[in-house]
Amino acid sequence: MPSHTFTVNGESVTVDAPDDLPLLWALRDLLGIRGPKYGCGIDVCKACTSHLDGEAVRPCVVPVAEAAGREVTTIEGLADGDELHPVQEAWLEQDVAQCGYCQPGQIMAAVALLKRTKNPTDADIDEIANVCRCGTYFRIREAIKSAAARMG
Amino acid sequence: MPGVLDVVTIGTGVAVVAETFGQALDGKEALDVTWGPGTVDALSDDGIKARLKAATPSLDVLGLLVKKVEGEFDFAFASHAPLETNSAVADVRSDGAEVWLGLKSPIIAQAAIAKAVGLPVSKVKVHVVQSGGSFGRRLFYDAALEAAAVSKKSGRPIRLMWSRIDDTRHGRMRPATHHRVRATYAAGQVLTFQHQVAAVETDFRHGLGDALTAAAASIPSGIGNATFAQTLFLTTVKSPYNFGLTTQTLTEVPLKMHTGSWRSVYSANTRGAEEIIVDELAAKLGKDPVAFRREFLKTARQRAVLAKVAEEGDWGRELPAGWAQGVGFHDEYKACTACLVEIDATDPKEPRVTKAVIAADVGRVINPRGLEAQMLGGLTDAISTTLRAGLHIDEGLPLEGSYSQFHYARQKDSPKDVQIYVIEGADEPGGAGELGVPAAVGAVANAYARATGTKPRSFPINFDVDFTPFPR
Repeated sequence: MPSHTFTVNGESVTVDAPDDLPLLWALRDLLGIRGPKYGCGIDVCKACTSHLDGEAVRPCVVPVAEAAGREVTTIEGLADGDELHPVQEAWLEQDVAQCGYCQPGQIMAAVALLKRTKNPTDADIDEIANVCRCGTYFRIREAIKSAAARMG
Repeated sequence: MPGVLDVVTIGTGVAVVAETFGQALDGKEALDVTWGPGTVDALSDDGIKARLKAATPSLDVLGLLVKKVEGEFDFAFASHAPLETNSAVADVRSDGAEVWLGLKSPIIAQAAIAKAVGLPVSKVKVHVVQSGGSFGRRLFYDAALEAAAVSKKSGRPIRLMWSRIDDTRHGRMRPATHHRVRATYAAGQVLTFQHQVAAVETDFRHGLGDALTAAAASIPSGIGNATFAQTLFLTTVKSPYNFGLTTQTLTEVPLKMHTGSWRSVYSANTRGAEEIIVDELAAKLGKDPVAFRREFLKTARQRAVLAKVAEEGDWGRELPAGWAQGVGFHDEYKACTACLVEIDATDPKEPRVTKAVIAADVGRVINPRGLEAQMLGGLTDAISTTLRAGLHIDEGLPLEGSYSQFHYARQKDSPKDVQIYVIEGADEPGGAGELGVPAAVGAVANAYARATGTKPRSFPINFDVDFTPFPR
């Protein structure tokens, strides 16, 4: 069984898994990191959105071998110790989450967007295609704008 | 195959047990299963629509000179599409069983699991855990039964999860419905309002959370479930308007399909269709949709929420060609709400609701932000199912298999401006969880109708098979 070493949320990890095992299952089932959620397995619902070297990816379609030597960040690694990321703070302020299942992915997508664009327009926000089945989209939009203001 | 530990056949399918879900899913793909026939293999959308239409009672015979507004409506099946697929954890041993899952009817689930695994109820421990939103789907506890059956056969604790395709095609759905609605009028007054609904049977065999009603709903030959359906329909569906002699009936067509209550049960389609007819009636009488509703609503409380959205939403404001406002109203759960939306239907195939103004009076408010959240969710459900999200049934199965095909709204389909006003009302708290859907269905459909000059009759409005279905 091939072995893959990469960094998850600042810690080096090694997993034994077939090269083509989707990173999502290495994270969830081998490493017990359950923030990234399964919703479709084909990069459509985007519930598993996490970061690979700082860019948003969907671990359900990233083979674990591709993560080797790279840095994976999941929702668990977003806060700085006890200090939440400004996007998480904005999420709390706007009371965005309903059931919460899509929210780790929504937050990780928002963080990636704010990294690319300091002051995203409505059109930029529209490009986040993560499904929220509770339909919280408007609060997500407000939270992203609020986070952009916080992050200056 | 790597990671695969066991393959187990149970009553509802074949389970692949593996170290990771990724490997279990690969194992599932590699299976070669000979399936028995389904329960409705011969049926596709056309056949189901024809049956519903045939089952819908005719409207009353009218004299030739009676003035009327009428419409026939079809609503497609809609997936619950819970983002968290059907799932449960079970650990079944010879002397006891434990299961963990999101549940709405844990008492009857516990009894059913005990029966299924052959243990006394006292030896089955059910843990109700937080789960992803299910919008009615988790009234059913089939995931627990499957996980328990696999655990028992495989002799190990099981974390069961369905794939998205299975969840979409073999999960539950809101039944398709057909509607005949007619209002008659004379001298500016509405004389009669008649609405005949035919629906594919909604499965209520989960009961109301207790063993007695579940047993009653499960009485064979459909009598139990049908009685339940009638009771629910008659207690939940009512007209908020003074429309003279008003009759609303439900006829269920018992097809063996996996149906289930979907947020607001009958009201989204039934009251949605009525709100469309209300707009058409107003037009026939030469009245503005808001002014017409104000005139015919029954109570001051109802008129207050309507007035609120008209005022805050600047009802009647000028909009560019291809844009329009639309309004809808609903009263249920000891609560009432009005919804005003603006739609950009410049491209009728790609409409976008750009703004929504909602007012709700649910009596005493316990959690204002939570209440607003429920109204927001109801709005998004209405935008989805009115404009694009539905299931096509082809030879007994949905063609749709994932969110690339079942078009539940995304951020790009959602309004950039949503205002929700809570009117603190009478002392007794009413319900809000399902309240928002029917009014918003009416508002979105009416806005689309006014923007495009069409009369929407079939929902979702834009419902092409714009994808290549996954293999069956």
